[in-house]
Amino acid sequence: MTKHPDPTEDQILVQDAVSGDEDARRELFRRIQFVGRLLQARNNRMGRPLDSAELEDLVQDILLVAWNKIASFPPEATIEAWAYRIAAFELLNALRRKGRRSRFVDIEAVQEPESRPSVRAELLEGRGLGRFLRHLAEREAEIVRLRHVEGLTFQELAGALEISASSAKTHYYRGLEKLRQIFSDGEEVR
Amino acid sequence: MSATHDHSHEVLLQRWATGERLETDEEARLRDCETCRERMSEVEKLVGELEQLGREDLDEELQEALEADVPDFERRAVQRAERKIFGERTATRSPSGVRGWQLLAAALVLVASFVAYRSWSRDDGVAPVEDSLFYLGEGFTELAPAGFTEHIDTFRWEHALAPGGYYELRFYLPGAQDPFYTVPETTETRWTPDPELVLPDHFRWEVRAYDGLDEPDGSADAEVSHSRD
Repeated sequence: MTKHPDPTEDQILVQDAVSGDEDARRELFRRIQFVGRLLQARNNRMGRPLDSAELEDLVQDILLVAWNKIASFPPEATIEAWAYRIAAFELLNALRRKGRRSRFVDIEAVQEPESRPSVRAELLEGRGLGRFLRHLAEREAEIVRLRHVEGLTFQELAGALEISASSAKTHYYRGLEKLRQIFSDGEEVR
Repeated sequence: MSATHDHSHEVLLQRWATGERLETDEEARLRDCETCRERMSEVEKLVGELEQLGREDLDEELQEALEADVPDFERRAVQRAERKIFGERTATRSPSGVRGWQLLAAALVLVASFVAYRSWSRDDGVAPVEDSLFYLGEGFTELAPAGFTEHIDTFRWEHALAPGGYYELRFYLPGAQDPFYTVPETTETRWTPDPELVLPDHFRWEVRAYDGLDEPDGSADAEVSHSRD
């Protein structure tokens, strides 16, 4: 079992890295390298919309984005959870860009087979939260998950989904209200 | 006395639930409404549950990722990012926590390799290069062309290839992340481009070695400038 990261220790490590401590910089860089494995697992579950070269470029981009954001590392966060959220956001953007490009390139060539799981299906997959997001419409569930698992702001998730922030809030609140009504009737979330 | 719940309260509840900051009088209107108070309490409890489940999902996915085998593309991406971040030429399998004497030894190997390369390239009739930016990863001892050269005919390198292994060559425009030209599997330690292939004036080329299991086994790259006149 992997040791659970300690937010306080991580905060110190980040501060040391920001102040230029070479060992801390190296250790921090080592800790965020797992994003490749994270993306690979997600990409596989989605039916591999990104090929190996695209994943390689995306991982490099994520590492550089994360590195450039070190100074804004949030308090109470762990390095892995912080990198995870950056990776999830960048993956969503990469898929959006690829989807947009493919619409102009060759729509016939890139249409997904019926049996291939969609990006949205992946977002709603049956982990803990996903199990009860099935009570919601697809868009509502997608936004609730992006908000509470990926930790995206409304501005970020609206950009990634190409909708307005106010529309994202409306979908989110509608989903929240449905869940509240279901679970206030005595049903337990878990 | 509780205020009557109406549509304006619904609007306020949505703004509150989506994290908007309410004015003092707007908050007071919600607090004065019994329906709103109940709804807020239920939403807070629900959001707490969602946050908890979200953290558990995240932990589970993170754990799976941390325990998974490192894919090849991650190794390559890490190597590329490492060069950009640390501004140095790092070997493919360099250990973390490198000591000063190890860096010094690596630097000496690079210098020795460069001197050896210049000597080798002169003996072999290849035009000598001026100061060049190149990188010899683990297992590579020679690489040409590198730096400025008058004429390019053959790309060559020296490396002990693992049994069943092969090389892959990639050519990049300055600053580009994607290659403009790739030479797939070859077991030779030299490659001569087709005369019809027009190479740009400035480019970077990279040779990647793979072992018999398709695992990366080191790489080397060099920036090249040449005149096509």
